[in-house]
Amino acid sequence: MGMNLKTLTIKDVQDLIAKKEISPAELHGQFLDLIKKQDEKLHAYLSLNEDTPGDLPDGELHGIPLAIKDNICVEGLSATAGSKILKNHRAVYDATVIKKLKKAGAFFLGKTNLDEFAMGSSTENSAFGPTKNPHDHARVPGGSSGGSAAAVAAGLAVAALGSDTGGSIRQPASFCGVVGLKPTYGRVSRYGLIALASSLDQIGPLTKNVYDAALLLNILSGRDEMDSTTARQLEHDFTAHLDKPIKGLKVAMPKEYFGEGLDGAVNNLIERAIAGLESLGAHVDQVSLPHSPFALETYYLIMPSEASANLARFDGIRYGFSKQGGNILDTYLKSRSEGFGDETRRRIILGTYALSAGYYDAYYLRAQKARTLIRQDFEKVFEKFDVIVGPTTPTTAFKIGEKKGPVSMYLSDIYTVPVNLAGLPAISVPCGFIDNLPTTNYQLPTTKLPVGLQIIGKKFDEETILRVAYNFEQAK
Amino acid sequence: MIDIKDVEYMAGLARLELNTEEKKKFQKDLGSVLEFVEKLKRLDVEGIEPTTVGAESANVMRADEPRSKYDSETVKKMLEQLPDRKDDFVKVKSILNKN
Repeated sequence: MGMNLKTLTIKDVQDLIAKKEISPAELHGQFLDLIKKQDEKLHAYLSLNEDTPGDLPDGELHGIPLAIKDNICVEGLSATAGSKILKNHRAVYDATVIKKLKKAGAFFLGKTNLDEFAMGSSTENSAFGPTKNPHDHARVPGGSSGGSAAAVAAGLAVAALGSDTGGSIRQPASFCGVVGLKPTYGRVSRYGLIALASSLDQIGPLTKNVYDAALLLNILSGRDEMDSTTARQLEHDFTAHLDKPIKGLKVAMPKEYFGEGLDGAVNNLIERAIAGLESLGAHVDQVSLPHSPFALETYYLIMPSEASANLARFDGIRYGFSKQGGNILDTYLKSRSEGFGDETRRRIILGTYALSAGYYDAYYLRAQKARTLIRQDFEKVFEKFDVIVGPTTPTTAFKIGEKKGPVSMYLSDIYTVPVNLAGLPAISVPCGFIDNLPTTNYQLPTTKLPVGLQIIGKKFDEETILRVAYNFEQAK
Repeated sequence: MIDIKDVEYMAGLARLELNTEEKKKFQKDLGSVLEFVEKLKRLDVEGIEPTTVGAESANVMRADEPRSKYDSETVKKMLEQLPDRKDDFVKVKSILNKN
């Protein structure tokens, strides 16, 4: 059989299964063998699902092997969220997205690595060690869904799920050279996702191509009574109009996304990609999102505030890591101090500070007002334009250990964070590679690092961003 | 900058215990983040309504009927994950001090 496991897309697997060339059980076995051989160095997976799939439902995803970020609950599998405090935790129920995927016939290869509680941009904050970038093992895969992005990029899963609070699907997709989609807030149920910041979190797919992302969104989306923030929405086939031409489409290029901090080589590739959209007939114009220079600051008050509340449930009493003290307060203090890593504790304390009496108005309330201004910037642009395009990240993947101090790490999310604050959908689609410059003078560049183009859409208009991404991908 | 007393106080509110070295490190780290977000003070937010939710949403109501979300098998699995238990109860250290 001349099948290359590593390059399989969802459509390829569907064809192979339809032709009876392989069974889901065989696929499971072959993928697990491959992962066991190749993931030791990469560390994309935190745990594997050894259960051979039995009789899977005959749905749209029958027999599709997926990887799931380890902050999404799959009954019976680990759900560590990358934290020591949940090291031995096993999910006792399925997240709504998992229920939907199971019903569609998919099965799960394992759970993927992430920054602790999805707090980070590199997976270096995982309590279980970092994941490596498949394009260069000295570099990070991005984060926080770094394990999912690396697994898909290295061919150790056909597709994967991640979660995106400030860029955690799109940034690792960009760093690893895969497609990553963050749906509109309210498109996909968050029930069964271990919460980071509840007004920003969304689950979405990481895939090898745009078609697969659209197909997975078909399954994932929908109103869920277990998540009252999900919107009422009609069933929709996001794959139906992917190949509709983009001639005449109005594309906005925000000048703030092309300023200081953007790597020159990344800039060149993004400009070339946008010229590509023009040659497909799109009208491109420069616009301004005047409050976007305040987006990271706004995000780094709102997200830790929500996180400090969400993470209060990890108390050493109900589940997870527990360190018993002399009284109940001691048990809380010891369990939380030993169970949480540095970045998590930093954000909990920062959030507590921003919400506390005396600082609430100056920090949290001010940030919520800034959030309104950031959202309105997008609304104004979308009165005249169909999509907004720019780089997903200011640079290509950085080196493991390169970013010292929290703020330098945060800057990696400068173009992705505003989208979450505004609740909009966005996709990162690969748009080329730049040379991975040698670290010593006598070494020839042997590897290249991927760059992602970010396409941002109107609320609930995933169809258009997927169509632009698909047209771009096919024209490349 | 953030005062070390503030770090201690906030950590206490968040039920976190920091050793002396951690307090110093967190004071520095939190100071750098607070310095970073200082820029927001330059933004004119006079008369702007805060955005408090991820999407425009209305209250979601349902009938106030008792219902069991989890079957007994799931409840059993949850109980098995309790760090400390007695029969089907969560066991905790004493909450009130005995005098």
